[in-house]
Amino acid sequence: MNDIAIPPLISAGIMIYVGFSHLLLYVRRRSHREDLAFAAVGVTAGLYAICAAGLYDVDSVAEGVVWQRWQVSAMALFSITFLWFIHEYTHSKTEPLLYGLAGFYLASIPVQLLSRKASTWDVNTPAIKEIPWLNVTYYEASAGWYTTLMAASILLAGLYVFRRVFHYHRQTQPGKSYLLVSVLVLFFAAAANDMLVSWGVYPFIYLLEYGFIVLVIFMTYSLSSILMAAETRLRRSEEKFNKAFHTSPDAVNINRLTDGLYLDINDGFTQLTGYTWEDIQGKTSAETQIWVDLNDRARLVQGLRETGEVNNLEAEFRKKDGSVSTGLMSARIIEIDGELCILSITRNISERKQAEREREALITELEFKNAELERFTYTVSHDLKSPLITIQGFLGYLEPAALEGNIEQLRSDMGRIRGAVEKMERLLDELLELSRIGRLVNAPEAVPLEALAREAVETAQGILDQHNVVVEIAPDLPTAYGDRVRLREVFENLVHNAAKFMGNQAAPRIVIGTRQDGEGCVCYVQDNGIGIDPQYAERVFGLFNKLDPKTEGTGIGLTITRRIIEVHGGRIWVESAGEGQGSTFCFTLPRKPHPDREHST
Amino acid sequence: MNGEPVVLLLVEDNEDHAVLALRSLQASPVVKHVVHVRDGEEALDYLYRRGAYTDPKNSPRPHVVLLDLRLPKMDGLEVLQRIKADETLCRIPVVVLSTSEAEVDVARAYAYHANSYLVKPLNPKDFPQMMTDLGFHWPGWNRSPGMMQSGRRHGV
Repeated sequence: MNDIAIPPLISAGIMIYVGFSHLLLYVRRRSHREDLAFAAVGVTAGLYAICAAGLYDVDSVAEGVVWQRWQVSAMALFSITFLWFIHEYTHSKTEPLLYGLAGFYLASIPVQLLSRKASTWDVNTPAIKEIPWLNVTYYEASAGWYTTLMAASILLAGLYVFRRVFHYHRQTQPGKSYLLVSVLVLFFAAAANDMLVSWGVYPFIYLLEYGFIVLVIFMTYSLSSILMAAETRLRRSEEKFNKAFHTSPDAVNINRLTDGLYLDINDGFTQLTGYTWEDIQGKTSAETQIWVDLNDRARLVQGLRETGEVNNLEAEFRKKDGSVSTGLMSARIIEIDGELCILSITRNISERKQAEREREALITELEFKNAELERFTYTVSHDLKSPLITIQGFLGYLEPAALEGNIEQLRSDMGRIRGAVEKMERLLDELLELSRIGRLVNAPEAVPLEALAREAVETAQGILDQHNVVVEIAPDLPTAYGDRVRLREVFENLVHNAAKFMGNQAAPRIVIGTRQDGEGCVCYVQDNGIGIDPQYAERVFGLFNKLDPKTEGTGIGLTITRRIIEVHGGRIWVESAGEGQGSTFCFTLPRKPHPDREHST
Repeated sequence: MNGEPVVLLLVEDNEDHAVLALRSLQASPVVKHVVHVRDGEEALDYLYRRGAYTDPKNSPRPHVVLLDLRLPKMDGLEVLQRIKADETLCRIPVVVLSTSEAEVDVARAYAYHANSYLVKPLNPKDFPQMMTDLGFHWPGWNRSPGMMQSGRRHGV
C-alpha cells in the first residue's frame, strides 16, 4: 500500500467511529434526530476518505477514475446527510432548496457510477499529478462538465449551510459562532484547494478528507456540549424536583398505579399519616389501610387513567395511630422505569373541615335562634296588642254609656278595661321573667331531684289541696346538674299545671318519677287529668298558647319551663293518649357539667 | 229583606273582642243572627254540624265567617284552610279579623283564599265602625254563589 493512502484511512476510521458512536447515542436517547443525522454524516465522510485512500493506491488512470466515481458519489451522499444534519441541528423548517439539492445529489450517484460518457469524467484527458518530494503519482481523469456542475452545486449548498449555521449560532450561542465559522472556512478552503488540484492548477495534495475531520470533530464537540448542557439541565431539574418533593409541607408520595406500592414518600407524608419510610417500604396503600374508603383510591385511579390528572380530590385518610384526617389530593401519572406511577400531593385540611363543620353548626344554631326570636317577637307584639284593642274598643263605649246614664254597662266596660290592663301587666312581667332565664343566675351545682320535687310540691300545696290531688314522688329520682332554683321552678310549673288541668277527675293523682329509654334517663310528671290531643302536643309549649281560652293564666308557664330545660341542655315533651287520658310531661337533664353551658349567658 | 235570616259565624277566643264585635253586629239591620264560637275546633264542629251542633236547626249555614287568626288548639289559618278545601263550605266568604298587621299573615291568609283581611283597629271609634260596615258589606251588598241560588237578597 502506498504510504500516502494511510492518513486518509486513519481519518476515515475516526469519522466512521464517531458516526457509529452517534448512532448508539441516538438509539439511547431516541428523542434527538440530530444524533442520527450526525451518525450518517460521520459514516459518509468516512466513505469519502476511504475512496480518497483508494485513489492514492492505484497505478493507472483507468483504475483511478473508478475511485474518482466512487469518491464523487460518496461526496454526494455526504452532502445529503450534511444538509439533513444541518436541518435537524438548526431546527429550521424544510425549504424547497434542500429537497432540490438532495434530489440532485441522489440522482448523481447512479449517473457517476453507471455513465461512462465524458460528461462525468474525460478518461482521454488524464490528469496525472506527481509530487516528487513525496514520491507520489495520482492517476486521475479530468472532470467532465456534469461533475463540475456537481462541485459547483456543492459549493452552493455549502454557502446555504454557512448562512443557516451562522444565523442559528448567532441566535442561540453567539459566543461559539466564530469558532464554527472558522471551522467552516477551513472546510471550504480545503474543498476549494481540492478543486484547484483537480483542475491541475497546482499538483498539491488533496485536503478535503482532513477538512472533514476538522468538521466532524468540531460538530462532535458542539453536539456533546449540547448533550452536557442537557444533562446539566436534567440534573438541576432532578435536584429541583427532589428538593420540592422533600421540602413540601404537604404529603407527597409516589406509588405504583396498579397496586399502590409505595416507591417514595416525603416528610410531609410522615407528618400527615404518621408513617415513616421504614414503616411503609415494600407495602401498598391497601396494606397500610391508609384510605378510609378504598373507593376514593378507585376514583383516583380511574381519573388518572382517563385524563392523566386528578385535582382536589377530597378523601379521608387513616393515620398510623388510627385517627382519621381529611386530605385534599391532587395527582398526576408519571412513568418510572417503564411503569405507570401516581405522583400525589395531599394537603391536610382536617382543621379546615372541622372549622367548616363548626361554622355550619353555628349557622344552623343561629338560624334556629333567629327564627325563634322572630316567632317570639311576632307572638309578643300580637299578644300585647290584644289587650290594647280591648281597652280602646271599650273606651269608645264609655262616653255614650255615661251620657245615657247606663251605669251597668259603664261598670262592666270599665271592668273589661281594667282586666285588659291587668292582663297586659301580667304579660309584661312574665316576658321579663322569660328573658331572665337565658342567664343562669345561680352557679350550676349537683341537684338531687327527689329533694327538689318535694320542695316544689310543698310550694304548690295550695292548688294541690284545692283540687284534692295526691302526689307520689319516686325515691329513685337521679341527681342532675344545673341551677337549683330554676330546676325547682320546672317541677313547680309542671305540678301546678297538672293540678290545674285535672278537670273533673274523681281521684286526682300526680306521679313524679323516672324511666330509662332511648334518650337515657327521662324524668316525668304524670297526671290523670284532662289530657291533651296529641296533635296539640307541641303547641302547649308555645308562648302565650292556651288550649282553653277560659283557663286562668297567660299561657307562658310551659314556655318558661321549656326554656329552663333547654338552657340546661335538655329536652322536654308531653305524652298523652288524648283528651281525658291524662298527660305525662317528660324531660331530660344533664347528669354532669356541660362544658359549653357552664358560663352560659 | 226576605229569604232566610242572615247568619254570621264569629270565631273569636278573646271574650272582650267578641263583645266588641257583637255589640256592633247585633245593631246591624242586615245580620239577624250571630253565632259565637271560641276556637277553631268549635268552628268546624259548627260548620260540619258535629258535637253540640248536630241539629241543623241550631246550626244554620252562615252567610259569612268572621275568623280570628290566633286561636287556641287549631289556629285560624288551619280553619280557613279546612273551609276552603271543602267542596260544600268553600263558597262561604271568610273574613279574617286579626290583631296582626304582619305582611306574612296577610299573604298567608290570601294564599289560603281568605275573602277579606281586617286588622282589629286600635281606635275607640274604628272598631264599631268596621263591624257596622262589615255587617252591611258582606251579608248585604256582597253577592256569593250560594246566596244567588237560594233566592235574592237586596242590600239595605
